[in-house]
Amino acid sequence: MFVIDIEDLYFSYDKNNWALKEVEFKVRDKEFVGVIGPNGGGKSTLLKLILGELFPDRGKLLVLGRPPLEAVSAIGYVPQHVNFKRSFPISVMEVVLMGCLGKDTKKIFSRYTLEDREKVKKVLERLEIMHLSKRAIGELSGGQLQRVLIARALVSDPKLILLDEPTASLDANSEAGVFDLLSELNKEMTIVVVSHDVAFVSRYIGRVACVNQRLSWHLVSGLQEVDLQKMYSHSVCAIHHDHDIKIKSRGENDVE
Amino acid sequence: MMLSDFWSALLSEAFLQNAIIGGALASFVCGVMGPFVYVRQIGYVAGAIAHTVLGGMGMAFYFGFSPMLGALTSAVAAAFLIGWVSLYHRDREDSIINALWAAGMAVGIIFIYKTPGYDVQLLSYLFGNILMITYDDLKLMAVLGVIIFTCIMLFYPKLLAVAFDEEFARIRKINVRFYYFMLLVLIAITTVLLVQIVGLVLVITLLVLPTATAATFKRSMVGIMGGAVVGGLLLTEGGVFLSYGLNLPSGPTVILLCTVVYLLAISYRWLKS
Ligand SMILES: Nc1ncnc2c1ncn2[C@@H]1O[C@H](COP(=O)(O)OP(=O)(O)O)[C@@H](O)[C@H]1O
Ligand SMILES: [Mg+2]
Repeated sequence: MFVIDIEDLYFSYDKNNWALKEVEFKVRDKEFVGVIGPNGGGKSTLLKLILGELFPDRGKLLVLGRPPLEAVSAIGYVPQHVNFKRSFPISVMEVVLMGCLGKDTKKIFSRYTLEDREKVKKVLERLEIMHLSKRAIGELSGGQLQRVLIARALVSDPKLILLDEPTASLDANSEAGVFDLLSELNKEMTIVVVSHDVAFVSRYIGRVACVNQRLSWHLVSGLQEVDLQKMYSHSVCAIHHDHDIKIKSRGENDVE
Repeated sequence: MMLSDFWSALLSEAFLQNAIIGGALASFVCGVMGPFVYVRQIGYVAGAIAHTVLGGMGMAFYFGFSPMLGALTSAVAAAFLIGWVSLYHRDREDSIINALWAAGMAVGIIFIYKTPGYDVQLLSYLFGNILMITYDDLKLMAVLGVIIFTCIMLFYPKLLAVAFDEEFARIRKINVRFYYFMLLVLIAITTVLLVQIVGLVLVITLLVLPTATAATFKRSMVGIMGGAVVGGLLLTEGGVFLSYGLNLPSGPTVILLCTVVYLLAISYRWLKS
């Protein structure tokens, strides 16, 4: 069974352009998969489909063998953009506790239990941010905040964790820290991480999916550093897949 | 006037006791609700709801039913209308809020004007008179206060999650719209409560300023709530004391006190950094 099982998936935000088409994306248990591709290629859209936040126009989409909405409590998600204001008066502890919400949708009055708090402490300790637990999120550095968001995704003991450009705003040191952490977590769970930084991803990840409306796979081991450099400065898909993918700039995508 | 004079007046005069209790109830409710208004930045929504309250009260006077009932009905109706517009017709939100704001006030003034004997009280509904709170008002305020506090206690984690990060809340299958509506209805109830105390013109200020003051010192929701409750209590009771002693209208006195303290707080912050 695949943790993520996507076949022939099509999705559009408006009916004139496919944001994603003919996508096949199968991820096995405990895989560590990278997703790369140009801006606007559809990487975030793909993650939102897996989360059940968006629904495919057609195609097969199963997560842990179930429709996304039934699997969502087993998925951890670290969004690309912080959707909140950094000035929001809330502590690290409170943010991470939110990861405990939604375990039991029938419970209307959701007080956090002692168990929840213990769980949060364990995760904070594991991510080495226990000392920050009482800090307001506005006082954290970018790398610390990213760890907090990963912690929030982890407290619900997910089987699969999706990260959308978790290191985009970090310096190289913090970035390495995050990826070290992820490869550690990978012993227990399946990880899909969207990244801009092809060179970086390749050090940690076995398989890379390139998303630019369509999706194609790369084996990182086969790629040369030189290629990676070129890929990074141009379009990843352009180099390796020009035989089957026409590169189009945004807005030119047509529906077939 | 000396504090001791105020004290002896307080012991003998029922209206002063009512004013003190009413002020305490209002500060408590404001301190609990204010932080949610603050983090969601919907002070203007509270303002619009407050103005529709005047419409409801005016109609209640004219047709002869309970003004509290009129206020509550119109406030909750306004909350649902604003919630619906801001969820489904985002681009119109601003216009609808302004329309409600103006129309609510206009309806209220017309009906109050047409009701014999009530037009003289108009000013007190606009600016409130904390020294005129009756014992029955207090009982109603206490009931509403308990309802609000209970709701916030029971739903706090979800209300906070929805206010903090809507996308994450939605992914965790929290009914984001339901909790938005709940928050607006709670604001409506709060507004009804406060119109009696400080008048509708000043409701927003009392809902926003003690919280904003507390937020310059505290960096957590619970901390801000505590600060706003205690601060609001001191400010409203201080306002009652001043307005009684100096023979000033109570609502504006309370608000000016809140404003001065808020300005001092942000100046202090600014000087320190
Ligand atoms: N909410 C939205 N509504 C309409 N179009 C969208 C929305 N989000 C993204 N898109 C479009 O879908 C395409 C894919 O976007 P996205 O998945 O965010 O790309 P990526 O994450 O790879 O940069 C882009 O053309 C983008 O403009
Ligand atoms: Mg993206």
